[in-house]
Amino acid sequence: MSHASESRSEQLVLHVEDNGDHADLVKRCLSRHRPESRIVRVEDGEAALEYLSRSDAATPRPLLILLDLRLPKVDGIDVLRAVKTTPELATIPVVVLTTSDSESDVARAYEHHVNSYLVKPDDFLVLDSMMKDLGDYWLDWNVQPAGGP
Amino acid sequence: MIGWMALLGGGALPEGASTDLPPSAIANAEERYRALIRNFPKSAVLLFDHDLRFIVVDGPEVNVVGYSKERMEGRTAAEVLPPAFLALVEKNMRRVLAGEEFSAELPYGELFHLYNYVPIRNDRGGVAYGLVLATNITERRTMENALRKSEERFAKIFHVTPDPTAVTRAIDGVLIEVNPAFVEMFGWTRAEAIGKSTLDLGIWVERGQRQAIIDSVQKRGKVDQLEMPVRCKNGQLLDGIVSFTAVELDGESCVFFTFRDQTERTRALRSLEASEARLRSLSEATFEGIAITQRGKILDVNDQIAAMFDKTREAFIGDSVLSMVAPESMELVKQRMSDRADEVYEHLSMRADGTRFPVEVRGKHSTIQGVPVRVTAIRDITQRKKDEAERERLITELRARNAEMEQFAYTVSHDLKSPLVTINGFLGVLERDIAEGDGERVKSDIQRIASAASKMMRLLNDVLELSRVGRVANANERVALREVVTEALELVSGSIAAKRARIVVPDTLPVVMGSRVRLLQVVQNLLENGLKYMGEQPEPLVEIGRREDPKDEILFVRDNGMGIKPVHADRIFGLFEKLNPKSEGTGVGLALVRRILDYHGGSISVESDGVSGSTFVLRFPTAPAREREGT
Repeated sequence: MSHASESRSEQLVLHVEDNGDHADLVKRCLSRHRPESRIVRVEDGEAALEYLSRSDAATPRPLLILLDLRLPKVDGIDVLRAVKTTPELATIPVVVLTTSDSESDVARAYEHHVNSYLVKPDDFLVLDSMMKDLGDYWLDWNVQPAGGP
Repeated sequence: MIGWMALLGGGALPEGASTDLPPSAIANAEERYRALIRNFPKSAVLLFDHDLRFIVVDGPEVNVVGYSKERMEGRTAAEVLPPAFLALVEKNMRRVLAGEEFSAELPYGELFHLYNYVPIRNDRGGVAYGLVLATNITERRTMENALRKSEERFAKIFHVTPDPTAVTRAIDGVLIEVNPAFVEMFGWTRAEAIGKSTLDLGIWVERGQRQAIIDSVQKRGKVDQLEMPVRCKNGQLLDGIVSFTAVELDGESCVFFTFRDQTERTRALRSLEASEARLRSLSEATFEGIAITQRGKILDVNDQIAAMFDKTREAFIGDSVLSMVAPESMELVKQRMSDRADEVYEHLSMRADGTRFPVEVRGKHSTIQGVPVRVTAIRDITQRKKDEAERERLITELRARNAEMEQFAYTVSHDLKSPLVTINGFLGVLERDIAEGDGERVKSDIQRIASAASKMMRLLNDVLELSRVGRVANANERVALREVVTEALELVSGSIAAKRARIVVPDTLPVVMGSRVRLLQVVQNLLENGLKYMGEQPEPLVEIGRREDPKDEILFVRDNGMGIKPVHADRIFGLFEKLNPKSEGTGVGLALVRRILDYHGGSISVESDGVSGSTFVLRFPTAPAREREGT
């Protein structure tokens, strides 16, 4: 808990999403419920991996990765696999947020050790409450080791 | 009698020889008759009186039998002859003295003599002496004996020979003798046959033949093994082999003929021939090649094998069966042959020119007339193999299409849901923004909803377009790509002008088989694509050209834009795949291009170092040479 309160000031979420509209919707919902959170959005998998590979002041380590699956350049699953197989990144929770509810996508995501799999709801109110719960759970209640090994 | 007297007395008996000829008179003639007698070969002359006393004995034969003139003359028969011989001749001597003239053949030891007994009469007609002229006939008797024995043997053979045999007169064909086999086979009794001519009996089915045969027999002595039909008493016809031999019987030209019945054999032979013909026609009617081999050597093949291997049937005979097998299948075939396996298996066959073809074979061990052989049926399965490969290819293609279809459905549902999420999301946001009275935000929300809706429309249109690719009329016309490029350049002339791009196209481009409309779509898409991703290039250039290739027709579209990193080279052809999320378009364009190329039996790939432009390479199967076309 102490770790969580320490990192409360940061509450950085890396949102990997190529669809600008969807990114805006997520940001509006999450910011409304968690004004203290900061969302960094990248548009494709390549950009996500590049962000995560740097560890300077401009690219602080995120508390949570929100990951779309169908992404330009490097696909969401490949980003997930890269994160989970890189020791310094493996402990960062990754939540998939995608339009796909296909069983194979769900299975593949869990095979690569996704922490949670969410399907984008087409009802705005559901999305809104989903984002509130997501923030509460992953940014408040969930405890994770600080930094990398 | 007179002759003898003349002989003895030179035609003049001494005067006064009334009762008995005086011995002196006879002695007088001695010199004359002795000379004569001595010249009688193998003969002797003996003159004796009523006392059976030899008066005159002479001739070469006297010494031959162990006597002599000196020993015998003046002595009686009883005194000089051995008792056994005396017993034989005494009676004859007395018969001649009684006046009888006769001859007799009598043995003397191993010899045989002919004795001519002649009474010698005095002028009163009384018998004065007996004269015997003895001639050695041993040789004749021996010959006669041999001949008789030979005749007996011949008769026996003639009688018992199992082949019907007959003797006819050459002149008219009248039967002189027939044997029991003849009687049995032809049905006439010996009595019925003998005395009739073969023509009367109708033995020769072809009557005209007889004379020619007889002529030939008389000229050459015999005619052997003539195949000809004959007729029996009951009219039945028999097939046979007849041999004729010319013989002389009792000074008459005859023909001896034997007949051997071949009816059964002919029938068996005909049925064998028929059976062979049936088998041959069976083997010629099958689709399979059939080979009969013995210890690996070819005894016979049917026409199908000859055709399969492009060789004459005769050329196979005696060859090793392995000469038909390609080296790479040799081990397998040898194994199967030595296993005496009779299940079906496949291997590669080889013609004399080295060309190979797949076959299916089945060998069966069998025996023909006691000889172990292997009968092998061979089927050319080139077509079947082709069909199988084609089926495999179709199945693979179908699987790929199925997978593509699933992917398509998944992608479409995912990407069509995306604008719906946007629309519904912003409708929710809009409600809130209206409640908060934030005019700017309301405007932005509506803008986003409208744009998501129109994006959805474009997506649907593109998906529809993509689904239509396979359904185009005139999909197999000859399409000159140069003309297609010209048309496409007109369609994108706006973009070219806007980008101030330079376009390079050669004078000629390949002609391919396909759909002109679709190929126009391809070129247009690639041109637009090249122009769109020019990046910061100050001198945009799009170049279209042809690449030499031994197999395919190759067209390329090269730009000097931003390029595509090699890792993305494949993904760009996926449906709704966009490397740049901000770029216009739905991500269907290159998917559509690939799909069209697929339908043309071609392919598309991209070459780029990810920095200095991209080259899209389109491969088309070479169009068949232009056949004569109407003007």
